[in-house]
Amino acid sequence: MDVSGRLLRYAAGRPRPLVVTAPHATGVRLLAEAEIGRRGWRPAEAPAGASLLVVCGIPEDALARAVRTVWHQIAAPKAFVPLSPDRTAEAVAAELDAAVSRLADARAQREEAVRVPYGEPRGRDGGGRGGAEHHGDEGHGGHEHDMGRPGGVRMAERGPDRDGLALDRLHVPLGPVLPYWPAGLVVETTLQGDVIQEAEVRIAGGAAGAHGARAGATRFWDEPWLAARAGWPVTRGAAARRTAGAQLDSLARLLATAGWAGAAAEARRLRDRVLGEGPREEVVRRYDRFARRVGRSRLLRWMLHDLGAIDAPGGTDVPGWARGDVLDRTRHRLAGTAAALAVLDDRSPLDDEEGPRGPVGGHPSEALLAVLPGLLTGAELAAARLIVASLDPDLDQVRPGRVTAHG
Amino acid sequence: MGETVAAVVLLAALAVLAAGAAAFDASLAAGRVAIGDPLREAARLLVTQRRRTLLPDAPLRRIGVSGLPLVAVLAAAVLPMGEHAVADLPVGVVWFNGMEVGVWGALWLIGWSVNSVYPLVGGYRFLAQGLAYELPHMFALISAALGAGSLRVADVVAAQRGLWFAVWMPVAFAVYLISALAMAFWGPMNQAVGPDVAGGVPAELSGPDRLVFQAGRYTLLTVASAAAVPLFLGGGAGPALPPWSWTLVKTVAVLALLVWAGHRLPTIRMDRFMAATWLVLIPAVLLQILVVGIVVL
Amino acid sequence: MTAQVVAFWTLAAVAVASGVAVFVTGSMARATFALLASLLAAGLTFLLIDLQYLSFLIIVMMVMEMLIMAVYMVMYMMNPAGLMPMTMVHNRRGAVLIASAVFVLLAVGVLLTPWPARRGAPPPDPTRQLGLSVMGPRMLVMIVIGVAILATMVAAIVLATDRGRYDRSGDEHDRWGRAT
Repeated sequence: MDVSGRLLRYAAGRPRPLVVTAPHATGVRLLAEAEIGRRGWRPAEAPAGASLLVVCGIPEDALARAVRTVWHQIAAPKAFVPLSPDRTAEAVAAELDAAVSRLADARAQREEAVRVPYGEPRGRDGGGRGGAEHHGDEGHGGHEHDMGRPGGVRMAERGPDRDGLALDRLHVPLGPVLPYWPAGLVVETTLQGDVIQEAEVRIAGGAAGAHGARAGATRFWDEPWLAARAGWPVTRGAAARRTAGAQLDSLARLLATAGWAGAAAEARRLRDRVLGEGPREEVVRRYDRFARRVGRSRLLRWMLHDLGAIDAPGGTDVPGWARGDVLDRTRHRLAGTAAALAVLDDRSPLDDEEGPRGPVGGHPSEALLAVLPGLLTGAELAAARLIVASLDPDLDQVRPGRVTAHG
Repeated sequence: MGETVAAVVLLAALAVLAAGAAAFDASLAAGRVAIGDPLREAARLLVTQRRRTLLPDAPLRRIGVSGLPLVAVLAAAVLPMGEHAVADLPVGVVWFNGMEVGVWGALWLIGWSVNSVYPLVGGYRFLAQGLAYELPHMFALISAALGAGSLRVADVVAAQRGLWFAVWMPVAFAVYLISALAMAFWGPMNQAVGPDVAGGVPAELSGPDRLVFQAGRYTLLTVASAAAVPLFLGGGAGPALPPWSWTLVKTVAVLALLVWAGHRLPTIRMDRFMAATWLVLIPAVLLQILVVGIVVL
Repeated sequence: MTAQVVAFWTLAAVAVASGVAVFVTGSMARATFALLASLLAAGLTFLLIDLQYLSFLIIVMMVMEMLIMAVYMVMYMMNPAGLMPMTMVHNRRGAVLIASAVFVLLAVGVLLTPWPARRGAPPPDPTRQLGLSVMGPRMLVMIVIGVAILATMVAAIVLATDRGRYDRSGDEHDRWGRAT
């Protein structure tokens, strides 16, 4: 009568996956998300609620350390699912099936739980109160209570807030492991309460280092344009599919961050349908219904207007669609998707440079990252998340050495 | 003896309804029928290790986690399940209010005690939300009590024999529904557990702790829905069927509406909503009270 | 009668003990909730004289009040989690003197007051009776004043916070919150 073993096997069929994506692994992330959605598994929002750690792509440097920390912080029973960037849909499904059977293996799970003393908290430099699971730093193990560093954590320092009060400041990194967050992005913030006082952009995952330049560093969303430039025959329709998919992917993240789970799920389903060569009429019909619902939502308008406004980016090369506030960018994405869907069947050869995030050769995401710290400074945490989601910089586009931006 | 039976029936009814709400929620999230998912999730959490964070305040966490379902069940004690409640207090409406405010304490305690940023932010967010919804909520309850001339829930039901309060106090009923979402931090009012802060208050809870938290949340949503029935929807009154079944039908209807609304609407942030509650909802529900007062006089 | 007496002394002991706990713990969160426990115990004693309405009202008010209080206690204290050694007691000698003097004064007052003996039976609805004896014929005035106070509070808050914590457009502060 092995009750816990039975419970374990019963529960294994409905795991809660936590998906972490490394730069240059957008393709396999989309496959994993689609497969997880098809199975009806609900993704976890933090390591504590997860039972599967799905890592898309090959994390390097800070991201690799973050993944190790997160894996350590997931409570058993748990399974690790590494998906290398070249996996096919069938291979992804097979990996997830294998993970389910590992979850159901009561003996192995028990051994794992005994062998690795789980969740033993580590001290972290500058962690202040917490920031626990999203911090990549290793080291400082244990519970030393030296003066001023209970548990090995520095106490919060103080700084003036906007009303002239001296309030505690915490150093909290946003990312790289956060739901609906650009792959590999880390925003190092100084928080007072839930208001960001300072922000600095980093890239975790190796794109900034020597590894980012290696061959095979793919730019999934820009692929059709890069291929056309390299002389491959690419149709406008194929590029439009990619554009529509990219806009829907960004919309899904924005809507999920805005707490609209239903619309976000529909955006993801549409994205998968578009990228999966779904027929134009069907996609357009479903998209029109979705766009009407999102576009007409007064609540969404009320919550998104006047956030993260980029008005006159003089001298910067911020793409035109990024001007305005979060609401303007949302509308622009809706319009961009509709325009792309209209030419889905266009078989003429691709001869422009306009990728989903702007001119492909201009690496527009670098400009987005450059304006990010200024937009985030002074923003409340929820607003900051919406601002990031509305810009949704694609870190695959970012060239090595072009990353750090301060605010 | 009778009270013990009633208490057991209440607990069973709450458990079934909360599980039903979780199943409906899971089905909406998965886009297909997923009735078994909450059971599997419960099984998973039962066999999952408990998470430890750095320097937590364990006693406060225990109080917070166990307090959540506790206040929900205690609040339900004054709600009539057919004709009788487990505890038919003469000031049942105030009791309901008092227990429901306990959610403030439970959420803030969990958010504080685990010693992590996102839960802490979630806990503070709920306090801001409390300041936004609590006064309109109280005035909505007072509208119903004023209409009945009594704070006893059974009297409020009896006063609706002719016409439901939801019909002639629409503002109070609408405000109550908003505050029901807010007190269960559900759907558009889920900022305390929002996806933007990695799940917020329960972000560091795993295993049995998370199970109790989730169960408490669905129970709270159930209780908030169930309270709308005696306060605004005529309680067990209805043709043909016995009172208990009408109570059940109406509770399920309100509960389904709230769960569905959770998937249909984006999150409302308190930095934008606060002004609306204080400048629109409070005056509106005060006018409602004035109207009710004049009608009752 | 005995059950009532036992309940009273239990609640009194809980109230005093958690009151002491406020000053023993170093954590603001624990201090806040110890104080809340003390106030709840005091509120529950109202049940013993059949003032259910007041009792529950005290519970509602105290829970909300102490949680708002927690925000400020945490905000203004260094080291609010009590992770570093600290004490809630300052000026120990003066505090002991003042506390003892106040205690003696109150105790003497309690012992010397000629408490009235009960005449007749308690009314069927003590809350109503209490309300009438406190407010009496001025009930309508009090109700109007109550609404006026609420309106004043709303108006005052609206005027005081024409710019909120998060809103930085339209004021003369830069992104860092410094005046420009």
